[in-house]
Amino acid sequence: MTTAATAGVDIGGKRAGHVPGERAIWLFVLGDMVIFSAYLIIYLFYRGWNLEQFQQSQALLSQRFGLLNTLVLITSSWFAALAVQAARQGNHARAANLIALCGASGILFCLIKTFEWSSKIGQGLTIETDEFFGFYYMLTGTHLYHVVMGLGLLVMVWRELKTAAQPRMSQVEIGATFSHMVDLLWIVIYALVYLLR
Amino acid sequence: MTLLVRNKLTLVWVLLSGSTVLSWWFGTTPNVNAVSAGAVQITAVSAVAICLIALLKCGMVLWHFMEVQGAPTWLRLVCTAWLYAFFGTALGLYVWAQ
Repeated sequence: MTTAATAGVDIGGKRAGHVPGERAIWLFVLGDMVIFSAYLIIYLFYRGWNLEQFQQSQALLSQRFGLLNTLVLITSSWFAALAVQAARQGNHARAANLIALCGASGILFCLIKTFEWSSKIGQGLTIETDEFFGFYYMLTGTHLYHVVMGLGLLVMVWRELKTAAQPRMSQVEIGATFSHMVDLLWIVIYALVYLLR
Repeated sequence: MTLLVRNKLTLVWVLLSGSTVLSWWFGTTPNVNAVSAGAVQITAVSAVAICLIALLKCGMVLWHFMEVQGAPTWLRLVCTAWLYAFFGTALGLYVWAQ
């Protein structure tokens, strides 16, 4: 164990030019980023063609929930990064706890999102209401699906850390990378759909 | 606890959280002007700020959480290109819409 790693000042224990996890997860991440980017660019075109309708509908979104959910996912990402750091230091128990906290944050996001949606639906704002809400539910829905997938991955990572004699670093990194991607995508959705009005 | 506080990752979390709140401030009152019944519009400065902050946040997540900072050159180039291309396009389309 190096002093840098034990001081916890930087993520240590990896080579320069190293990609965390495996190539496959990064292909998935980059592919997903391309798809979401395209989706959001299309959204912005439709917004330009229906500006007044989009502005009126955007005004109906809950800024409180948007902000809260963004902070929740940023925190989940923080836990995931700390978990990788702990695992690299050989502290698998701590890493497992941090993965659990990451997962708990993800669950909290799902609960807040569900509450936000049901509140909207209660006001009669559904996926068919108008163009904007069609995009809103599709974008946040697809994203939510990714959050749930991420939770599944985190369960596997947690079990690896708790039960494996020699937990594989690559598995922890894959779980963390996916969690970060989910956070990244939400940062973009939050900015473009909630704030850019 | 001190290790956590002095941890670079915690600094990144603080910056991400703080810039999120700042971004929220730009997107909500007091920079909001109602343009028609029920609609809301932010100022041009706010729009630029929101895009720039989002770019920086994504950059921080990529570089410091996803470790692109220590990744092979091709990945760093791809991520850099994506950041500027995507947020540049987003801001451009926002301006076009107005």
